[in-house]
Amino acid sequence: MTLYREAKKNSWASIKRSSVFRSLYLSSVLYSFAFEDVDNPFAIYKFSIDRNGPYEKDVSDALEFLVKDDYLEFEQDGGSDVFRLGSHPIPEFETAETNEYDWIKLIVDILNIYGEDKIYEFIFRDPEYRRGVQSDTPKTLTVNPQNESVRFLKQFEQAFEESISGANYYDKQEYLKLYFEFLFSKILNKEI
Amino acid sequence: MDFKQFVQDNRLKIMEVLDSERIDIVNSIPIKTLISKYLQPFWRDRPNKQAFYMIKIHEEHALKVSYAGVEDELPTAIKEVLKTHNCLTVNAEFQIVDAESVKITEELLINESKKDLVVFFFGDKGTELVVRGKQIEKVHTFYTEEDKAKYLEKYHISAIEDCLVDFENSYLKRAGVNPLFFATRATVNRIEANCTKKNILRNKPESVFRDSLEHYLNDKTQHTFTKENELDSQRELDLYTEADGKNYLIEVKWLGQAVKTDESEFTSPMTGYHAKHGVLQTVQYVQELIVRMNFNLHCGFLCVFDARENKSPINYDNHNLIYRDNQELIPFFEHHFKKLKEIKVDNITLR
Repeated sequence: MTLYREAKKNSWASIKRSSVFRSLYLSSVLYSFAFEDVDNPFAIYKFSIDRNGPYEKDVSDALEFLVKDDYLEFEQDGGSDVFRLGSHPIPEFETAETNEYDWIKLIVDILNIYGEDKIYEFIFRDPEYRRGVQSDTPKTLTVNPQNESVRFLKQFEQAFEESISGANYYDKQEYLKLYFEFLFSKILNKEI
Repeated sequence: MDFKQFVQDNRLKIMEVLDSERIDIVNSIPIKTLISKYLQPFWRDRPNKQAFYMIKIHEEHALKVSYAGVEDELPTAIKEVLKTHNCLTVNAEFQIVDAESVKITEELLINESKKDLVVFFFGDKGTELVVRGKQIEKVHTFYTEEDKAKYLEKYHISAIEDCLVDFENSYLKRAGVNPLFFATRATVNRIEANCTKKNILRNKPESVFRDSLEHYLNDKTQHTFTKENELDSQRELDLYTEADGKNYLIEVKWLGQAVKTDESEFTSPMTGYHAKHGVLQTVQYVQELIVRMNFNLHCGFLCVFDARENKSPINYDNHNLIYRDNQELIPFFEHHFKKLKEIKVDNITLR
């Protein structure tokens, strides 16, 4: 619900089913970079990989539940399953100002810079996703603090701190924004 | 890109973006979103790039700008007023609160930005940002607007046929590429002395064709193509991509003759018959993906590499394999399948 609410603020009328999985995966896999000493609340998700990218059955079931109770509306758009906020008011627990809320908001805000249609390209270049795709079966993704994406981000942060004076004053959000910009440069330059 | 090296090589430019006095504006999500998603595309769409203009917005308003407002105002009021004015001031809803005609100079931009205003300047090279008395030429740390423009010049999936014409006419004929497909003359002669065939392919040509196609499409199109076999070992010949939220598949087939794995003989010739059956196989897979696997496939393409010595026209028999023998596939054939023009491949270096 937070994802949909924040997306709406960013002027996204609806979100594709695949984008829900992808956005939540990115929220999950990158969380431990920003909150090192906190248990990752997104660790409840067990992502596997299918043709559309990350997939999580509980999230899929949750979407069906939210549609059934009118929290979300479902429609087919150009063959894609898309969802938008429904008539049921957003429950109170979803409006609480928590780390999870702020984190999803940050991820959605960053993705909005590049547009929903580019999320696939970001996923494709996500280090943990690359590891998952290239590993032998079963193709699963891990969101624990040692995942490849967090490891990469830490190296990224270190590169800035070693080369740029004052960089150790940047907060994790700045690095996260730079990280997505770095991945976007790879998209533009057709690098993996 | 090695980012450690990049950061070291571009220290000064990066520090300009991450300058502590301006980072809260320059690297803020609303400013980046405004430029990337709205203002730069708006500038790109205006034909006369010499008609410079500027848009000013208070720093506080910029950081809480309404994207819905931007979407409403840019294509309507702002587009209209820019016909007669070149300096607009907007509020957080991106509504015009003041419009002037001024002589735009660097001094003006800098002075205006010292009044707690974020100034967007639209010159002949794109959108520039002026914040707190400083012109920020490089808004993005890792890429430039030129990178973005070059990216947009690459082929979109809708122009894949044009892309493959270049692939056939230039890439496949390159001296460094063409020999990759063909067995060496020594190998051919070892199998058949005085063989006159010049287009004998290497062993497992499907993988070489697929990989070269993947490499080319990843370089020349806006999209990222991946091998299907990374996801499903049964479909190792296919390429897959997603463009604008829609999924596409390319099935690769080849015609001609190749060397067998043990290099003891040539394979049986793959003829037009195999191309015809390639259509059926691709459409069957399209049906399977859509119906059984609930996969939102927009289009499945068949790409046939034709390395036959004699490239006589292929008789697809009016696609009777579909229309006469497999009528349940007709909707998938007509709505979600496209046979690309065969790609002719010939050995240009007889070794």
